Amino acid sequence: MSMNTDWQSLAAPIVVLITVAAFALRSFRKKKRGGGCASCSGGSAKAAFERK
Amino acid sequence: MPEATGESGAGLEPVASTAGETIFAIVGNPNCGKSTIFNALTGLKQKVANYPGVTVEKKEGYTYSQHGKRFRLLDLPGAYSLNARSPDEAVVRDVLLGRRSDTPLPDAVVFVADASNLERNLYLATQVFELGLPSLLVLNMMDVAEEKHWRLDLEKLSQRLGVPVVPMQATAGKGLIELKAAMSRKLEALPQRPPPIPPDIAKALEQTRAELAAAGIVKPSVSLLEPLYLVSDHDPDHYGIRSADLAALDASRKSLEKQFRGWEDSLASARYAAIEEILRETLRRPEKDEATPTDKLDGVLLHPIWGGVCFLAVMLLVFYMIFSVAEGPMDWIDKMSGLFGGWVESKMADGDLRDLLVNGVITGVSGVVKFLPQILILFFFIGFMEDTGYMARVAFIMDRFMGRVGLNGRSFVPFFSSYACAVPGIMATRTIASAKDRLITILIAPLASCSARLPVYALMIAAMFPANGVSSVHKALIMMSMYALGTIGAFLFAWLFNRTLVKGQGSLMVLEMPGYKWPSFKHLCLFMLERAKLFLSRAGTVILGLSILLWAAKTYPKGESTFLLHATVERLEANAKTADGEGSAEYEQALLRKLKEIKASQLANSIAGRAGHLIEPVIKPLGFDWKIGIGLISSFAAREFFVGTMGIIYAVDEDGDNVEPLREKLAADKWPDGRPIFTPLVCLSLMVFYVFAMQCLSTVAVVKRETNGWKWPLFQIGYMTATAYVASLIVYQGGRLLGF
Repeated sequence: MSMNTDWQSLAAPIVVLITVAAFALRSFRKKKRGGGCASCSGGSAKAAFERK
Repeated sequence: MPEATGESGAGLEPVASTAGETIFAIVGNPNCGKSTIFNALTGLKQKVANYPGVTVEKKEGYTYSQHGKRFRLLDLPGAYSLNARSPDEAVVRDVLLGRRSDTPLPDAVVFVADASNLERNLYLATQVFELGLPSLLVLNMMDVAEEKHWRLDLEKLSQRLGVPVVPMQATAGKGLIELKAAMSRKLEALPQRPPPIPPDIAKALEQTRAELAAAGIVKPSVSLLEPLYLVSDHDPDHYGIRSADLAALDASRKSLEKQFRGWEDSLASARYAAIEEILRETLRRPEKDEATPTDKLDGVLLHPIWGGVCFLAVMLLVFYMIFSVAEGPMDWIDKMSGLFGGWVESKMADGDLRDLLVNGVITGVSGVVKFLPQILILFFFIGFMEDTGYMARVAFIMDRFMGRVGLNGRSFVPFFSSYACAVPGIMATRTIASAKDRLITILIAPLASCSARLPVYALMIAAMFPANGVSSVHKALIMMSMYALGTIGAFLFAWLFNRTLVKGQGSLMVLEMPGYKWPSFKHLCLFMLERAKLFLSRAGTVILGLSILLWAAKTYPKGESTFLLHATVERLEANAKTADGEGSAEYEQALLRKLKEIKASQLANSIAGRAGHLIEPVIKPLGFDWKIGIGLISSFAAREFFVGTMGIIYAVDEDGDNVEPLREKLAADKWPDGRPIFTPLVCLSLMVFYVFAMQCLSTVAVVKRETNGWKWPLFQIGYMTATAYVASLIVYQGGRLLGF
């Protein structure tokens, strides 16, 4: 294996681990905030047709 | 059912406004054009959030006076009265009384009223003006009032109400300059006029105020209006009221009711009588109202038969447009992402990180993002139907069907909201007073085909007809039948739950029919822009993260095959360098076949592959293989990720020159015995599965919160998954028996 493949083999799992940590942090912060509209990225929770 | 009390943000002390800016609250009934005026004043200078713990939108924006003074605008939710019956009305009450700790007490109020429906609009207007904040009255929809041949004496109306009056036609931008000019003038605080309260009730309210002040609920110095509106709070969630204060308020309410039976109704009657008197002096209307264009249109659109036919025609048009108009932009996104992937590939040496970027991140995210045009078209029509007033007619038409399954049209609004996203739809059920109706609506809401299902349907329909020889009408009909299937399923389950599962009283619905009007193009664009931002931010966060995780799941653990893979790639590269005859081409073909085999075995032995193989025996009767199984598992977090998953899984079949679209890769995939996997029947079976399956973690979380426990979300996952499985099984096995 080349040097390039070596550092890439190391970098890819690090990216994956950072993603796992980000998801964990996100769910922890959501829990702390008492929820929110997860499906709408924490933005509008207004029903699309509900009211103007 | 929950006894939740939204107390977040509620308090006795409002936050202070920023020096140098005037804070205007825009207040009005629903459907009076309030948001159109807010958008016209602020343009893109606005931000949208939620009031904490409730599905009520908090919209703020900025504009400037003609002399450059900054105005901060709060677009408060639509309300009918300060005697709150919903969290929306509770928010309006609390902001105007200065009871919210997260929102400053406004310096002035812009009250927007529908000029063609003044009796009802002036009910809230008079309540607001009595609070004494500097105010002005905007009479919107003057064109509709003129169509009815109504003549308003604006000067006299201004005198009687004690506030400046600005006539407007917001959808055409008429009156906007006059409104800004009126806002720029110094608005005087209104004299605190006594509300039309009989003296004996007023005396009892003074006593109530003293009691509430002693309990620390209000300040002793507040006007009688604050205890009045707190005692007459009928919001089922009592949003904005501390749970510790509920008992004292309830005792005061009971005491007042004991002394003056029906006192709230008599106060409302007195207010309507006062409004009638004002309108007698200020409004002239024809003896007999002529049929307006709205009445004529309603004759067709609300007709028992033609109304339904028109609704179906509108829905067919929506789905037709989704397929025909979106095709071009979707192809562009596809090509752009392909080019981008190719560029990254050319710039990086072969390795895991490159594979993660190209076959994980770019493939996964672009696989979902490419559906943005279709989602925008869907939301364009949703916004169009809402702004024109047609959505209220749809609710009326559907009320007949809802009635047959034991629900009413009030449940239809949250249910219909779920076609966009079940999460806000479920949160919107808080406006349903009956606990029984509310629970049933929560249970059936995720059966409405949300926008996250759209990419799955679109991919499966594309895989059904990979040759591009089928018209958009056919595709639209298939798509529409999936939406219809979800709706029928929801109604059937509502009927079933109503008879078996949930006990309790239903409730009646009063539905307001706004006049038809042309939608504001700007408002529609802002609405679509907002949805696009939400969709893209989701693609940039949740979908991006899931793509990385799925890539890891399909790549690890790395076994011996990895070394074989690298050796084969090196041999291929070496062969490419020395290739000069036909013999080496054959060798290259053999190496490519070997490469494909190694990649397939690597996928099969990965975490994702093992999980897919584990559930394959269960899903095989539905026509699904282990790769679809991986898609089903990964899309439990978010349905639309099924598309990204398929992109990532099928990226392993790519060799250097093979960049065919995903739909063609799916159509070409085969079982070990050579039969195609994605036959039209399997595609249909998979779509039916997604119609009924829960497959959304956010919805599970919100149902848990709204029902205060795990009982109902677990029941919901159970009944929806079982229905999805059985329905899919019937479609696949039934189809096979019929020879498909």
